[in-house]
Amino acid sequence: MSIPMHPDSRYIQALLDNDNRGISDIYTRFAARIERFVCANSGSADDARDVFQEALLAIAQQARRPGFVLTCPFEAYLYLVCRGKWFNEIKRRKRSAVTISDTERFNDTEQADALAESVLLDEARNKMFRVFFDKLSEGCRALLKLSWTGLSMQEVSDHLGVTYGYARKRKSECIAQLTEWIQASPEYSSLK
Amino acid sequence: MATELYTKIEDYLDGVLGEQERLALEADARTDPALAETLSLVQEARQRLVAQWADEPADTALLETLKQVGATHFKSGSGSGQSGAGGRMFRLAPTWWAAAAALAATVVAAWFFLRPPANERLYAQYGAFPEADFTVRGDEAGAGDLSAAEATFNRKEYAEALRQLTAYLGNKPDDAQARLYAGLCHLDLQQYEEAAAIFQQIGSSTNVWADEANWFLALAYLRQDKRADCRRILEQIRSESGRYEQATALLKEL
Repeated sequence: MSIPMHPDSRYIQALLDNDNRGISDIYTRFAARIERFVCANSGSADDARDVFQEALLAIAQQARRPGFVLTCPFEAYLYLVCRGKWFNEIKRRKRSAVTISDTERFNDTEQADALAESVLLDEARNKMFRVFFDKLSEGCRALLKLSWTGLSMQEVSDHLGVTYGYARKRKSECIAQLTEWIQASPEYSSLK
Repeated sequence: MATELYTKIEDYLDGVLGEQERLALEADARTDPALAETLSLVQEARQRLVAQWADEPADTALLETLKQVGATHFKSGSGSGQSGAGGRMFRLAPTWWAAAAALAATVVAAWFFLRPPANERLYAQYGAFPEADFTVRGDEAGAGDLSAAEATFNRKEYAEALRQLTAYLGNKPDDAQARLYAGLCHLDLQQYEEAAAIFQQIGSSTNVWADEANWFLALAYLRQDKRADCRRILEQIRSESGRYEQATALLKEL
């Protein structure tokens, strides 16, 4: 049996379609509550704007993945994503334990909690892979990107003007470097 | 882990590993947790990075909309919520207002006259050079020069790197990557004509370095404050290029 789609899926669709009117509606309905929450927890309106924007972007990224279905009210989901993002941000700024006081209460947040947690974890893991990929040399990045986006190794080696054997060896070295950095990073164990 | 293993993992994930080798790798992964973890990590890296690259155009467009819409819904510049309601207010006497205004005017004037020109500030913001990572094959003529140039370039010793690259290009004039980096050396040394000639030649080809060359051609024009030329080149940078986002951002600033 398929999971029923929540009527608030229209907000998700607005993000996926980059629909200005739908996105304005999201801001009109929910921005003030997020601003109130962030300002009640040591933040400013500018912080709230950034958190809100980042949360919507992260939600859109998750919603583009196959199989995503909104099964809870959008407001609770958005609030919990913003809450998690703001919690991480003040923890980063203060570098110590922080407590959050909630300004909104929602009923039956189990599904919203699970969706929000998964969006935050997904975003953090995406960031981890991107950060270490960007640390690779220009040559490694070009080689991996060409190879992973559909070119055969023969096409990659032709494109880069190197021999097939060299391209394969270099690709393995680049992947070895990438995985070594990731496995040695504190984020890798904390984001499992 | 040995690089051969990564080659095998890649072949496995590409679906080109022979049947027997595939079964052997899967059996090994079942009994070796470290291998299983590495296999899963490489697979996740591929999936996540490919998805991110595919999402980039949509993310950029959405972010633009969010910025526009967000600007009208938050009380920007209002400061901390905690300091708002309970914050103390001070009243300045008119003479202090005058002194403060004069000081502010002086600071603004000093900033205006002493700041670097806009093109230099933008060049400093956007002009980071990529690290050199040359394909060096020991049996080739000039391989020593290329290897030395890689290290020298990455130490930002551009005059010496240019000398080494020029020596290498004497034997391998068609190496587009080496020519691009020679162009970067010229750019750093403010030898704009030489830099532009190299970038134009690579940029107008179908070479894999063409986008990179066009990006730095635009920066060479920017550094000379030739804004119309800079804009013209930036507008030619393709949306699939890794420099597209930066080109779009720089165009806006211009």
